Amino acid sequence: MKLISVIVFSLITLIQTAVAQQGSVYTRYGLGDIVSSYSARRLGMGQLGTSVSDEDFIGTLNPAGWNLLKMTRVEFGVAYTGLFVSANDYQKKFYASTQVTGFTMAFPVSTLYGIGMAIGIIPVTNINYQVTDHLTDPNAFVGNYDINYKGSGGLSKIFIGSSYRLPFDLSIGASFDYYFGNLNYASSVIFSGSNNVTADYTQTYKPKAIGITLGLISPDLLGWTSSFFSDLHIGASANLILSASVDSLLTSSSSVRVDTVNLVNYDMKIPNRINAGISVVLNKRFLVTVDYAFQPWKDFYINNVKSNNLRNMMMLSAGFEYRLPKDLGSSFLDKTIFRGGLSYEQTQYFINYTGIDQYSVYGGCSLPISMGNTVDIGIQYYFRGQVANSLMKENGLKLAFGISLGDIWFLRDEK
Amino acid sequence: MSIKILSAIVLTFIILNIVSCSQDPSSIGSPFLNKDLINLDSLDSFKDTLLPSSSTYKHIISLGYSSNLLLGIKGNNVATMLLSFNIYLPDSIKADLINNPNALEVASATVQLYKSYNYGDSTLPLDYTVHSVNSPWTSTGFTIDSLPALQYDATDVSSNKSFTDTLYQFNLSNDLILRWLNIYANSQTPDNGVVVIPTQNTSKIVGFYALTPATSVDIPYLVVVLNKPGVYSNDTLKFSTTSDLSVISGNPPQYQTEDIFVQSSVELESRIQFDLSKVPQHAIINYAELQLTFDTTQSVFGSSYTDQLTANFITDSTHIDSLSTNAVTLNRIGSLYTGNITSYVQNWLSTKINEGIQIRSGTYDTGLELWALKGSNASDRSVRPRLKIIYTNKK
Repeated sequence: MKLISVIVFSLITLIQTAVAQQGSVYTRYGLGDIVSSYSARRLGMGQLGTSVSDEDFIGTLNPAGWNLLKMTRVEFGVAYTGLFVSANDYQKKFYASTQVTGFTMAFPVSTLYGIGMAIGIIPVTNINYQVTDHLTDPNAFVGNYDINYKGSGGLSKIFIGSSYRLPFDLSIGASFDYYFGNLNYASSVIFSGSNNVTADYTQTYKPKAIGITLGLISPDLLGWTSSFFSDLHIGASANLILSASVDSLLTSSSSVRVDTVNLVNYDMKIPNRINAGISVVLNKRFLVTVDYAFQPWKDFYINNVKSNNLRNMMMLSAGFEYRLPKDLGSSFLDKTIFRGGLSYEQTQYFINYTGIDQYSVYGGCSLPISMGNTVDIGIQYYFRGQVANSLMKENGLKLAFGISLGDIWFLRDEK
Repeated sequence: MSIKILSAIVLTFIILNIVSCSQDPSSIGSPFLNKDLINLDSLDSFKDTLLPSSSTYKHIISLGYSSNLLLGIKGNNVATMLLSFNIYLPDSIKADLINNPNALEVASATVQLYKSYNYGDSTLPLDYTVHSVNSPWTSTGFTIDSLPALQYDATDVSSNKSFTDTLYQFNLSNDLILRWLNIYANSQTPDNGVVVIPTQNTSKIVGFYALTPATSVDIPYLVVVLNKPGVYSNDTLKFSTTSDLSVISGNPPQYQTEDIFVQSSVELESRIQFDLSKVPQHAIINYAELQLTFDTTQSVFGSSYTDQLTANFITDSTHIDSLSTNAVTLNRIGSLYTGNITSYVQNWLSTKINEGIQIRSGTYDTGLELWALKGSNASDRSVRPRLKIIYTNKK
């Protein structure tokens, strides 16, 4: 366990110190790319899984899903994204970035009543791009220079919540969410000569918001167990943002001065989100889920100014998870969990009067490292956008890696 | 098994992370960043009519720290020297003079000045008179404005003036020197040295090495030869200066209306100001270059000088010494003196206080170089003081 901790800590440190990583320019709009799931497990089966109650993983989309927790669990994730971007036949580029995606911890308070508590810090949106224009001014006095645009940061949330299983097996859950973040949009003029001073303009938004997430998962709707179908559940959750504001700071700086051009606090509207899904277990081995998510980004505004480049986000996802029933003496392969999925996402981006749609294929697995502990791997291949209409087409490959550690802490004997 | 799997995954991520760091950004996607667009623009005071104004003024400074002593007359510049010597006597001489003020005879007293500089035709004459000073002065506090109040004897105490290429000498009155020796022997109030005043038949200005903290050779010396009748003869004592400086009178040439002037030591300075109202208020100045056109026909230079001007931005035009602490050097390229004044222009823009720039000689307390530069009244607009700016502002 100590060795695992050292390896994990080293990996996080390395990623946190990395610089010059780049992603999609589409993330300039709104609050950036929406992160539906930070974990490799959920990524491997289509990101959502609203109706799934996990015994050995911490879901973050629906707090009602913590009702089956048996052990104290700690999870974290990192993800690598490789992005091939093309604007036309001539302008093509490969970008890549690696990020720590989140950290969660959960423990069962009462297995009898399905009370599980969870706390964590996870990303909500992500901004990551860097664009450089190489320019030459016709005025020889000005000469050659680069304009560099860089976006970074995103919205994150800290949550703490609990689940509870009602007597008729309806599980409910709620969490308190505190949203925070840094959205940085920097523009710089850089000259090749040493005489000229670099100019930097940085627009920083520091959003703050509080909200709650409410969720429920139905009892087994089949009410009986056939040899093929079992555990039919429906679930839903809603992320409600109760109030939000943002500190907006525009600074201009160079080596000879720093100037605060603008510093204001604005009202902000982060749209609520709803998730709904259904899941069933087939042949006691295949967990199949179908999910839907909706978030009206058309309502997003800062200082009452809405964006013409945003529309409502909608996502349809289907996934499966294959695992053999637990059995002492199972081989490594028998204990390995396999996942796959598909999704269609009508992203919130609406640029040049064209909506940006995203199609994804997922895969993944959980490799057992010891009793209750797994290493999770998730892969997503996606494409979105188009080169027509002066847009960009993006083909991305996301490789997520997570560790889910379980141990028996805090567990109270049920009487 | 599990550790191997974990290690392989971590290694994969480390490699991918390193690969991620090596990507060069491209221009793909820049059309989507219209909210962040910034604009690079340039302004040229000549083309964009950022009207300059310029003037020349006189800045009275003390030349006590100058490495030169100047003496002579050229044009409207009159250079006068003051010298005070560090007279230190051996105990035996002190005892002789205390017992009998006339115990010693001064055989000769010669002031030796080593030439370092010439301003004007070196073949023209230099003549001067030397007078004993009766009022106190200091090398750091005495200026050309102090000269009219200086009290000195009307008698010329010099004789035997001689000149070679490098050494100028004159004798001082033996009586004056004996009087000085007695003053120092009896620890009385020190003498005030001598003032060397050029005569009207002088047509050049000569520079001599002055006492400076960095110089110990070729500085002015007073060489005194003493006799003690019946005891010894030709006992030589050599005294360096305690204080020395020159004061120079002069004014900008009055007949020239197109030019502004900069002159060392006198000291003439010029002020230049540009109208920056066309530069956006929150612009970042990427580069600003000041260009001054050199008027060779009106400029006068000595035998050696540093061909540089310096520019300081003026923080308060009502106080002549209210200047920026950092100076910008203007170097000559062809007929232009140019310098990077980016920080000055940025400061004007940020503080909204633009009192202009002071232009002075790069070695303002040494020599007498006169730079004539085309001013804001020059009929040819292209040679007026010119400011070229590259700036960035957010769209």
